[in-house]
Amino acid sequence: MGMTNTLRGWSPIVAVTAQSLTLSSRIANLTAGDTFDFITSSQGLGKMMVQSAGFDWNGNPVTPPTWATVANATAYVYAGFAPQNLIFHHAGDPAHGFPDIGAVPVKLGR
Amino acid sequence: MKSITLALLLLSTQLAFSTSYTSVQSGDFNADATWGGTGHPHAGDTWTIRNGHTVTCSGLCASGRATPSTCSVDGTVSASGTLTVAPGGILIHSGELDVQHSATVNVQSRFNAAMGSFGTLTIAPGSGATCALNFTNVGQGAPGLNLSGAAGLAGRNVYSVLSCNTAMNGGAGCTIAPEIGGVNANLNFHYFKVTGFGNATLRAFAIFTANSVVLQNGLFDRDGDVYLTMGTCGACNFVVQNVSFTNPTDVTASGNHYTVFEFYANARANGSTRLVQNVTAANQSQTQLYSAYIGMPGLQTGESLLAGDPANINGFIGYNVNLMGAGGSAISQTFRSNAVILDLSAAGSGCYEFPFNSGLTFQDSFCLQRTPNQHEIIAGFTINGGSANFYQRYLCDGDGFFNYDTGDMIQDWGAYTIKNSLGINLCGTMTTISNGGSEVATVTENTNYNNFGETFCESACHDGIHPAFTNNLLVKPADINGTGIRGDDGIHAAAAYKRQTNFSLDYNGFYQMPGSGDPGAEQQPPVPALLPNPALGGIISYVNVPNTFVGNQAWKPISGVTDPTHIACASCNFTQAGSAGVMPGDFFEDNALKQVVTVQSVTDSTHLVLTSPGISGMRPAQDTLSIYTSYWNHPGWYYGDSNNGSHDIHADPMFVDSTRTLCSWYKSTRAARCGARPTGASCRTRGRSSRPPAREERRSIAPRATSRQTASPRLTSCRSTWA
Repeated sequence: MGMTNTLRGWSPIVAVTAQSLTLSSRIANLTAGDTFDFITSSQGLGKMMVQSAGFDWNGNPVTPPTWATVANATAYVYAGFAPQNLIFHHAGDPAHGFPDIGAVPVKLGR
Repeated sequence: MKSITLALLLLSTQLAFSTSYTSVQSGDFNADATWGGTGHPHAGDTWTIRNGHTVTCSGLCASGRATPSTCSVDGTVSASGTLTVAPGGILIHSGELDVQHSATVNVQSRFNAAMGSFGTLTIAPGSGATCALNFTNVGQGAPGLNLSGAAGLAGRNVYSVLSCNTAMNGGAGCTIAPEIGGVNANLNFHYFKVTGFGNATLRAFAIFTANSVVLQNGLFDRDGDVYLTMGTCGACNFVVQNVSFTNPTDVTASGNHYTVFEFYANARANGSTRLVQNVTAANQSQTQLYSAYIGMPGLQTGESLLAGDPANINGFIGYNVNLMGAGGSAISQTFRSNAVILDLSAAGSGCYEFPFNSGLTFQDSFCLQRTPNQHEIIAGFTINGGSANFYQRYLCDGDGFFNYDTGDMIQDWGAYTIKNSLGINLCGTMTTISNGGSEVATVTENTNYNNFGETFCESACHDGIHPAFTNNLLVKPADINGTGIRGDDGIHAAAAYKRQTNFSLDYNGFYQMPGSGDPGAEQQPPVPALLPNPALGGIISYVNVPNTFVGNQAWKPISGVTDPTHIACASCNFTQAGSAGVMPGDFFEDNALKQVVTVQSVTDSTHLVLTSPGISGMRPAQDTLSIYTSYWNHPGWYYGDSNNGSHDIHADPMFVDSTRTLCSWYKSTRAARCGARPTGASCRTRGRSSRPPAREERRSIAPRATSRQTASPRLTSCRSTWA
């Protein structure tokens, strides 16, 4: 897809108040009207997932979190996207064996 | 000057009094009797363990001359000799350590009731020198490097340590080097740590060809590229299991650059075990993406019950480290239960990159990404001898992030099928079809929610590129600016599109398409509006008008309007030869009214008949027209006819819970915030581009801010991104 914005730069944040952020280094050409994002959204999840082999992201030994499995994560999200509308059940292409439409089988028996 | 002089004096003194020791029997490293009864090695000395002798360091041991600039061979384990660092032993060797054929180096640790007894072998190069743990081609038989620790209490295993200490003598670095020719080494690491080997320009394992590799329950920390490749032994094992890689240091040592590890083999296993399971790689940089490479014919990484394996076992998990199924040997590989989480400012980063037509099976894995122009799966180079790739149950979560480009959920340039996959939360265009000859995409039984629709022929195309887009469920496409763009749909064709002779677009479900009037759908339609589906009573569908002008018939003045279905264009040429000619089923747009209808017939080079009811209000000499190509290379075919889309379903799927994301999973499981707090995080800013938007979007981007592109930085808007 095409571009609509230009990335001006990034900088670590050193202080936060309700209405302001203090950056550790200047971002060139930063002007009023620019928008921003934090590069942190998935850090907590990422830090935890990498502990599954027994070390945290600094190399310190940890007890692997047994819940932090790819299977658990995907099963949770997939379960949310199970259609409950039976109209999609076996409504797929006959050439493909009438599959349910979509990535997740229709949840039957609500 | 005085201190330098003193250091040189001390060094020359050390070298001058260096003693060379050769073992005369097996015994302790610090026992004189081991070396002939006249002393034992200390710092500044060299040693050789002779054939058949086992020398054991059980306390604090030191050796090596710390030769500056160019490392000297200060320790040699001769063929069939053994050097053992016993539990509790520490050997600091300031020089190269050569290991000959059939020789063995052991570093051992042992769990005890207290906390464990650790063995450590440290290489400490001299000032400016790079030293190797070097396997040399002398003698017969395979040499071995064994790091043997033990399981301990929870989180407190006992690790055998192999480290490089550059601070001690001002060394430049350490590497572990293979022999050149002959029999390769066996690596057996169980409960281990390898730290400090390699650096920004030096591999930790220097293109290390191994006989067998077993790495289990250990850590590579602050190492350069760990490059391991299987030698000619097809019956030898390659097992990497429960291994972490942290704080990678490579910058340019690898041809690939910024590499955590590389695992390769030239041939398939022959009766041996090859597996990679639960390997993690963490890179804390939020600006530089690192990569991990696996290219071993027939290798399976991770396991999945859904795919028929006996258990769910994580494969590769990377944080700001992506997975590359790369190299000429990356053929017929299986990747299951993998996760890559990218959270950095490196634009265009991909979670996974594979060769196309490599016989890949990629299942039950996810990508969570928030980088500018994110590319979740890329398969953009080919290797010889492969078959179609297969992607199944791939979860792509864009974390609601849009920077300056929607990115691509999957882009594969070969024949492939993507099935049962789920794209959510602004993950990128569902599938980006874009290759001039080799791509044959089958997209079936996938769900796209709050995500961008498929881009069909983004920059290249051929007839036959996309045989099937069927059985997919497309709901509430992502909206990045509140006005709709191509992508704010289920499928759209870009400027490079070519009419398709075989393209099945049917049996798809859709709901909440922009302009459809469905509850929760965007009120404003894209420009032009998504196509209605006549077979479903004219409901606005998920199909966007292709963005390919037919025969350059674009922005031409409408010279005459007889009625809403008959127009004239004196400057047009509708009857050009071949694909440049307008055919029934192509799309006519009155650019001023932004209304689209299909062409019913072409009267002559300057006159068209439009499908009833046509477009009312067209103004000759004022309005312009554009002709867009049909999706099909069959005159008269159009979306919603009896061939295409007539089996589509428009209905609310009633998802169990469409708010579910990977972050909500994490929060529900841990009752913890998915992201980090802003302090200590990074903030990136965007300004409006001086470059005009791509033609594909030019007509549809309105110059106003939206919820994600607000007029000024507001903390309240950012809080949602790290919740």
